[in-house]
Amino acid sequence: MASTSRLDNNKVCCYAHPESPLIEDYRAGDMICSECGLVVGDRVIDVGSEWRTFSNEKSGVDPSRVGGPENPLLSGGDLSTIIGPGTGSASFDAFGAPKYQNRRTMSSSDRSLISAFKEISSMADRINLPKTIVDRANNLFKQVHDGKNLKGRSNDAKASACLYIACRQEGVPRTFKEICAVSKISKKEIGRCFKLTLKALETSVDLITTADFMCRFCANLDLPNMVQRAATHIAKKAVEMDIVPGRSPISVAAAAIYMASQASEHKRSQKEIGDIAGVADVTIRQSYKLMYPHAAKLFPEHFEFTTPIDQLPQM
Amino acid sequence: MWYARFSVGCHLKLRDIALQGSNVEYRRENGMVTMKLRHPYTTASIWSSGRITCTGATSESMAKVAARRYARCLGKLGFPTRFLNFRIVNVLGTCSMPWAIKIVNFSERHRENASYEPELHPGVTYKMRDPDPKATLKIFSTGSVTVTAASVNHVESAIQHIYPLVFDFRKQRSAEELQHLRQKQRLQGGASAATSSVASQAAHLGNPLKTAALANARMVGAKVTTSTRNSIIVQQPQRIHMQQQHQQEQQQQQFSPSEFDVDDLIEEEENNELDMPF
Repeated sequence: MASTSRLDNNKVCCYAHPESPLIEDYRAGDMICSECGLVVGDRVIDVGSEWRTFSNEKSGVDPSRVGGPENPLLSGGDLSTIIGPGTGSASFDAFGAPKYQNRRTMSSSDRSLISAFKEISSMADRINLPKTIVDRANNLFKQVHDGKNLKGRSNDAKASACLYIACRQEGVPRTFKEICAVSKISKKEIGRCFKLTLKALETSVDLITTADFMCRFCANLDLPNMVQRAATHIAKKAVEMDIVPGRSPISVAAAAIYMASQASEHKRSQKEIGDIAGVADVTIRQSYKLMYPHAAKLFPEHFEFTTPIDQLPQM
Repeated sequence: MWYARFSVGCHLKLRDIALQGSNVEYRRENGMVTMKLRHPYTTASIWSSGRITCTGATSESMAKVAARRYARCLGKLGFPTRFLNFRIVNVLGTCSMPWAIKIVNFSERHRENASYEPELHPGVTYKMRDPDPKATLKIFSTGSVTVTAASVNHVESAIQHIYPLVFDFRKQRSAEELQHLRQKQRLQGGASAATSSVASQAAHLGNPLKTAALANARMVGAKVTTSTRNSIIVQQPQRIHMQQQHQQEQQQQQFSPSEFDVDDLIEEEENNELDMPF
């Protein structure tokens, strides 16, 4: 057995063949020189896992892991110590109450962060947002939480605003009303926090377009792909031709869906569309009135009309 | 419109004011009392610390008169009031461009200063952050612009600054918008007789800006509310710009206020729809 010869760069290697790579032999715990077979390192500590885990194990506990996954957003990376619940009779004092009750002093500065992350995650879950958006929202919240211009705002408002910005940044914007539906903060407050957050992070977001919402609204209304594509085309044309100046893209999208659905065999009323899109049906009516005169130019070329253009409702 | 702030220098009991005062409203969730005065027509927000905010006045002197009236009113209710720290915080002015504006493109070009959220507000909020003038402008797609700044001069220079930026994104007014404007002018038809008398009074005072602006007030297709009759609609600088920059354009000749009436202007706009280069 050779001693571990340490050269100037402190690497273990064979003294006869310093350049040759070393092979690790796990069973014996040796490192062997590949040229001459000299055992260079001995009693190498095995860093493999101590327990074997099988894929059909029902218990959620993985004995190879200590603690949950590390969250880089939390300061300290969740390495603090928690006093666990006691087992055995010695952990209970005379009255039967557990000693060392206080398990909660884990990370006082991070507690609000953790609760906000939980809130973001539950809000996202209600509208089925993927994990990428949740992660992005968590990141934004952490940045905003440290800053001082949103200090007075409630955590829930900041969380909702971060979720809204995360959806926008990922290219799948949700309307304010949709975020309102899963949060208990008013639209006004979310809007205010949104503007303050943009200022604090010094970013800007892209403008919403009508196409962003078509997929979702049409799917919620059970409209087939033909109608959805027609509605997308109508809305895009309407905005290009600028026949609906000053109207919110959501209202234009809703009116386009109304026009497309009325021209096909899957008709939807203004009230239904208004419910899904979160716009009032008078708003849809207004935008529809602006778009109706140009209906012939708005529809795509190969659209099959169940109800021809001149028979479209005229409200 | 002028927005002024002052203090009465003593603590006020809002409940007593709410119960005894006339023309007051008490909103508990905001913690303030709102009091309206008929003449001059202003609204004041009163907090229990004694700070009062007075909005809606039509000139600086009227703002001060109104503020003094409020202090007097509170004094009559039994509080030992004084009149402290009166200052004008904001001036609101409105202006209307004779063409519509493409706000989507405008907001994309000026991303660092402008913020457009169609879900929250139908206008672009353009904040001018240079030390002079510090102003907030709201630009709407119909062509109206409202400016909030610290004084009338700031409002004027803000509009001078924004005019060339907005000019790049002008667009033809559509037929429906012209109809809208016409309707509005018909509603304000009764007011125009009063405006001309105010214009002649202002001419007396010899303030050229006011004269031209008030005379322009008849022809401007602005969203005219009762207060803007008297407030300064800064149309003047826009006219100057047009003369300087665009001599060739047909439009420029039409905007001498004394010659043309509103309806003629709109008809000329309609006739020129086909001739406009954009």
